[in-house]
Amino acid sequence: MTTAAHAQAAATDAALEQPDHGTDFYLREEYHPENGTLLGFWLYLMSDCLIFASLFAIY
Amino acid sequence: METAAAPVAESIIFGRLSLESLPLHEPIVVATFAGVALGGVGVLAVLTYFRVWGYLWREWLTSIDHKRIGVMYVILGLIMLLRGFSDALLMRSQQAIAFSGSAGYLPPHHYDQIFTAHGVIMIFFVAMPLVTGLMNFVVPLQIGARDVAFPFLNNFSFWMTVGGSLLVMLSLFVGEFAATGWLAYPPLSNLAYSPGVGVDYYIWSLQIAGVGTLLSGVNLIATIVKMRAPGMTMMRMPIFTWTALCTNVLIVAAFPILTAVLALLSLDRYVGTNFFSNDFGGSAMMYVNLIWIWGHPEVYILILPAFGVFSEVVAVFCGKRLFGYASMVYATVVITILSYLVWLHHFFTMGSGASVNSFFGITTMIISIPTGAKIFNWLFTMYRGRIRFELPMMWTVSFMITFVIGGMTGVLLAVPPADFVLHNSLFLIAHFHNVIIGGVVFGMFAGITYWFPKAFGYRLDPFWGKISFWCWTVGFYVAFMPLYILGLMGVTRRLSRFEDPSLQIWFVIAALGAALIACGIGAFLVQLYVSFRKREELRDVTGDPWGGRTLEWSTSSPPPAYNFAFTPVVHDLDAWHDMKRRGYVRPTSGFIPIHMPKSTAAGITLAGISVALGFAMIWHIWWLAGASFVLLLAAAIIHTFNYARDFHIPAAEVTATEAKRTQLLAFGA
Repeated sequence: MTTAAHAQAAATDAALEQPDHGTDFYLREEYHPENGTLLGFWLYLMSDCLIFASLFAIY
Repeated sequence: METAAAPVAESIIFGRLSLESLPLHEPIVVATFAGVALGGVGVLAVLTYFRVWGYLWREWLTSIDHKRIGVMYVILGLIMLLRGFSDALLMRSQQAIAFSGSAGYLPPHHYDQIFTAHGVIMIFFVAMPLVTGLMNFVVPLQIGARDVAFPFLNNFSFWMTVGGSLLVMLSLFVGEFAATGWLAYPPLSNLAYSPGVGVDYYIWSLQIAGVGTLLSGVNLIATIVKMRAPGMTMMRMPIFTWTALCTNVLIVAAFPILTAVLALLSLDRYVGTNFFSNDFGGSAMMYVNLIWIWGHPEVYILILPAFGVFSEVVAVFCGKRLFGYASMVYATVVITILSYLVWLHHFFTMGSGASVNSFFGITTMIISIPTGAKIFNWLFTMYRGRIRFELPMMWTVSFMITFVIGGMTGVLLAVPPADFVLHNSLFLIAHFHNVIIGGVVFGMFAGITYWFPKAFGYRLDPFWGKISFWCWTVGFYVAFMPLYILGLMGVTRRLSRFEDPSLQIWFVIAALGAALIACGIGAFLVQLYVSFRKREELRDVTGDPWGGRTLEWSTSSPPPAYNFAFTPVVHDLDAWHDMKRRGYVRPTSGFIPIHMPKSTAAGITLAGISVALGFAMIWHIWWLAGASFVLLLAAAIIHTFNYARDFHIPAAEVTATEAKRTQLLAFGA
């Protein structure tokens, strides 16, 4: 989790002291999850490296 | 062993495809083709009559919605189950009658293709799609996300899996399939001993499906790592999401090895290299090692999601938090890592020596420990719980008994001296069917029954479900316990006929068990039909028919395209249970436009071209292979210029959808 998301979770945890049931459990603004493109790229690249590593190792 | 046939003459236009490739001399295949063709025409006619092609294309075939893709994966798995199980019935009936000089009705070369196809279909095109389908449907909902990280890639992965299964199905009617066993060991799978198209069908169907699976793995890892709702730390993730994460890590780490091995096998067959031959510097044992370095993680890819299903089901149907959540997570991670240290137990007898065998025997026994910890945790969850024996819980209890028996026979086989007696006997067959049916199949039925109301808005009919359950459970034991006995008596696997008449009774009992399982499958299909007919009676208006604990149960059944009007904020494990406990209030106003990805035909197009490429490579139609390859590249590049990939669902539409749900909830209260 990013620092921003941690802060958000902590803020909502603190808000439970004075429960406002409408906002405790749902984010009212649009939520932008972290972009997975870079992670996806590296995961794919690692799998490609595994393919070629095994090809070279077999050779 | 049959001697290699003379090479088939190749034409420029059709390669080695000719009229002789059609198995017109095999009445069973011709009858099957007639049945499939009639059925297929019937389905097409019904779809055309009801004018649903446009709807199907727009809403399902080009959909990038993880829920739709998950449902399509499960449908694919169930259809292929019918084909794979038909192979099983053929084998059981052949083995029950082929004694004392009778050759049965299946010639050996046909029988060999049947057991090969049975294994390939059941692992790659039944178990994998069912597991992937459940993960696709459930994981984004459980983590509070709107979709997976790469929705288009999800669609593409599905159609590549369909492409692989198409090639396998096509092999039944055009040419032949491999007759090498489901792992196609060389030298039998090399050109000298399998000169026909069978092994090529095997290679290309697995390569195409393998690409789909690998990309699916990348997709789901990125989804779980990056797209969890705020407040959902790793140790607040649902346990099914944890098992999905570990499964996809296994997929990303293991499938490249399968890709490489099959590529080298295809080089041996197409170009004349000697990677896996016994001369010119090759080593068949290299293939065996590598295929099992993939193969063992593969079986954990199949079982871990099933473990996740059982963890979810046990907690919900015992009305308690899962016992030992942290230890379940650690056990799953340990299994994931250890699954790479046991592969040699699949070939103890192949000359590695006592020291090497001892190492792998010990690691195999060690890997049973975290699984045992999971069993105890499930039992402790049940202890002093308010157990409801709904169908998912029935499947779970049956799994616990059946899988433990199978697991224990696995630990027995992990002892190398014992394995020297039992390797490749029917005892081995009984063991892995015990764990795969008891674990994976029962897990998939539990998962389908558990999440069906979420997907379709009505529960499955319990009466036919229970009939299916009992037929499967009793049928499994009747079908496979005799195989343990036969294995201990020394009967080898993959034989189509036998000489010792004293063995026949066990095979007949096993065939009866298979017939009972067939009844179980039939009852399941009846269950689907009856449930559809009685759907208003079985309707779930609350979105939470079982009293669930995780976030997917906070949505409507079925969920809207956007899953959550507002992203949930998570405060604890079992987030939905926590919300209910703390008196959450569902928002009914203030909705905002929601950003969503758009459907695309690129996935089905690319997969279709890949199938054409695979078919061309199998039949040596080189012009078609070249053209498909160029077309594939062109289609992929054209797709990258498609900038119209997303849209916004207007706030008014979200408001209207949520208002309808508010009405339904008031109606159901």
